[in-house]
Amino acid sequence: MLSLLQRSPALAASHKVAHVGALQVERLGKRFGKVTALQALELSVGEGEIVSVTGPSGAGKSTLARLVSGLEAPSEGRVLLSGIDVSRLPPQARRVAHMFESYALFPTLTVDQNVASPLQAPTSLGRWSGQQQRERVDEVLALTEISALRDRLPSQLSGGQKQRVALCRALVQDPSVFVLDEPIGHLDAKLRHLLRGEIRRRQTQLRQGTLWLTPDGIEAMAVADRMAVLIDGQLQQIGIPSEVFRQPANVRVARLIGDPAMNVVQAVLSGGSVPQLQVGDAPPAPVSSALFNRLSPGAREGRVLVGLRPADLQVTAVDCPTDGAGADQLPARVYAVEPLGKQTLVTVEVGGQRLRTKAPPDVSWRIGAPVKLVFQLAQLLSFDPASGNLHRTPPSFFPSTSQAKAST
Amino acid sequence: MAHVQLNQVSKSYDGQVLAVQPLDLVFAQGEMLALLGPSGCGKSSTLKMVAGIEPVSTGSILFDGVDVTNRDSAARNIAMVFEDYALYPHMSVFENIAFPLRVRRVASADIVRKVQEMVEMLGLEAFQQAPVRTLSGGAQQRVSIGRALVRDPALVMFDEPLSHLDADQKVLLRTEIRRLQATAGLTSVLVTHDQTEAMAMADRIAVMDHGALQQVGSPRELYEQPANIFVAGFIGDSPMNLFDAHVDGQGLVHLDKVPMAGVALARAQLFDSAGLVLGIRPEDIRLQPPANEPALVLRACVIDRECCGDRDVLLALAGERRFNVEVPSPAPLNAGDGFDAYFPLSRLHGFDALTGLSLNLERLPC
Repeated sequence: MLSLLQRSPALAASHKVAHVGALQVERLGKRFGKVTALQALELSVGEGEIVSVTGPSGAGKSTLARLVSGLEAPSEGRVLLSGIDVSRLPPQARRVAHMFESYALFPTLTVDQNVASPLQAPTSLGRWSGQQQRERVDEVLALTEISALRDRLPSQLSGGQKQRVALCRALVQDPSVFVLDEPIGHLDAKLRHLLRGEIRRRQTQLRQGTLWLTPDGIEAMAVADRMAVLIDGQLQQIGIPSEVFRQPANVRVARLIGDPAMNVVQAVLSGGSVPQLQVGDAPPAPVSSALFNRLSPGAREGRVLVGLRPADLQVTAVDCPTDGAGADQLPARVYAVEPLGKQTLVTVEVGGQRLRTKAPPDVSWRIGAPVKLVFQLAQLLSFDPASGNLHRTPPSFFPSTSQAKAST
Repeated sequence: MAHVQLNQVSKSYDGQVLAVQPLDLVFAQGEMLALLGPSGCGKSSTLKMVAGIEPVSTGSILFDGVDVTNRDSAARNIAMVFEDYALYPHMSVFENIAFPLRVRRVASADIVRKVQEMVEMLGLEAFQQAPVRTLSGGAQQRVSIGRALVRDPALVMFDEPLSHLDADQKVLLRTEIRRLQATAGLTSVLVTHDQTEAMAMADRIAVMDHGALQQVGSPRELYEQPANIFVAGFIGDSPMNLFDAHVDGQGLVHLDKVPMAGVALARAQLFDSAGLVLGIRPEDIRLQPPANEPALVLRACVIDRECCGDRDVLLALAGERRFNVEVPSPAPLNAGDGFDAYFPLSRLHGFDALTGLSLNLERLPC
């Protein structure tokens, strides 16, 4: 077990949170008039830890960033940096390196001067020699591949270049916590991939913690030791990325995480000698009793919410024989086909509900073609139709990979 | 719907720098063609010339064989779908879609019928009378598509239609546009900087960079046979790994001076002069020897691991060279683990380091 812990960064990460973290927020809330932007948020960032916060626009991500850096005063709750309550301190006294989504560069300063500006602020006076300042600036410019642009003014830069300058101006500092608000969203795919890895490696070697805010669920998983999902100002779930992906706490998280996100199907379940599942206005389809038991632990009939990941679904021809063991199927029609290169996204329609499936790159279907949607029992999730919360799978139901590993 | 042809169309704004170099391109009837490239590649200038918003500097544009180069936008019967929707915020969904018909003084019974068709096709029935400002971004963009299609245009131009949407809305609308375009057989142009959007929606993609056309082809062609290093690096998520390489006298491949084990290549048939760039996509690298084909082998070390849901990306290091490997989750390796990376020969791409052009390695000789 110990060796498993050492070898798995995911497990190790969950143990990394120090007693006095870089950042703690306690019951943090913010109201703007009648609108609650953030509600009773509990979150901590350990030293050298990256915690990502993801959610759709309006979720409260930028509000959280502004509360941590002191640009907004909380309506309730506290912000602690290195264990010290800074809730009443002004931004300049907080030692938060905040990268703004809007960049907020000084238009009359060069790239170099913009990035060096926090090192020359009155609160940093005498902290770094000229030589040290230059070294720090050089390091972050090189990291983000904009060394060649150092003498340019912001007006001479593209959007993606400005974003990297703003990122550098945060990374160059020596704060208690870095708050990066959509740090790489405007870069092209190639640079985004490269930088998220490079920044992650750099930040996890530092003493400070990093709060990384992004609307991109995949980016949130890829960069983080732990990720938080925020929707409508409320924390939905916090955990290591693979856990949030595999066991989303509720339907809202499930519909947000993944590329594309999980399909959540509303259906009506009925029992009897041959259990049936009716999806939307489609005729009821016979399903296995194993599926019935899985969806309805109390053997109750009625509404169910079934979560099916695109990669776990298979689309086959109607006359294609199905491997019976543990597999169920529903009749469906092809709605759209999107070739993405390494795979093809096939969207099918069942009873008016659309499900996305990931197919091999050479797959192609005619729009409207009748097909079978095949799924494995072990891979589906079931949500409570009333609350939308995940029905936790009994551990005995199927051996997960980690359990299999631990027992050997 | 029209068949559109561009003959040697170019654009220069100052008489010196060519924003678009002489371009030959065909938008076949009923297809969606994507103009894809980074900012400043010339895709928007091309769009404006086809739409008649800006004059061409040289060349001609034909709609169904008729030269429209000197006709204004209205005479070309083009509909636009904009990045920021450009709807009339105080008007209802119905009135926004009806607007182009009202301007053309279409009989009101026809207006009601045609708008109804659009509303149903776009799934906007429930919001017909709602002011558009109360709608989500995705629904607003659907209204703007309805407004574009309602008057039977010759050509529909989608200018970064998904840029302002949240990720989940983006994926939904992407599928809707794809289906609508395919089932209605719209001749359409998609202008985008996002390769995923272009791959998902277009029948063919024209990749542009620095004002020059790099390659035109189906999404699969671009993905599997990129014509040059630019296309290879621009198409694909995560991006293709590209290595400076050379083949020594024994036919052994060296990547950035790191020798690869595995098979020896017949050097003479490969590439004889100064520079070779080898490319392989992260998802094509194997952690086990492939069963039925030879592979090059690179000893490497995992330096980090990114969880991407059902896939994991391993950030790896060989010598001083970083590269990525993408495998189904959970990856069997963690940071600090050494491993052999297998590059199946059929999955390798070769490029001339000087020209950047593909060497069209159907299969590497060995």
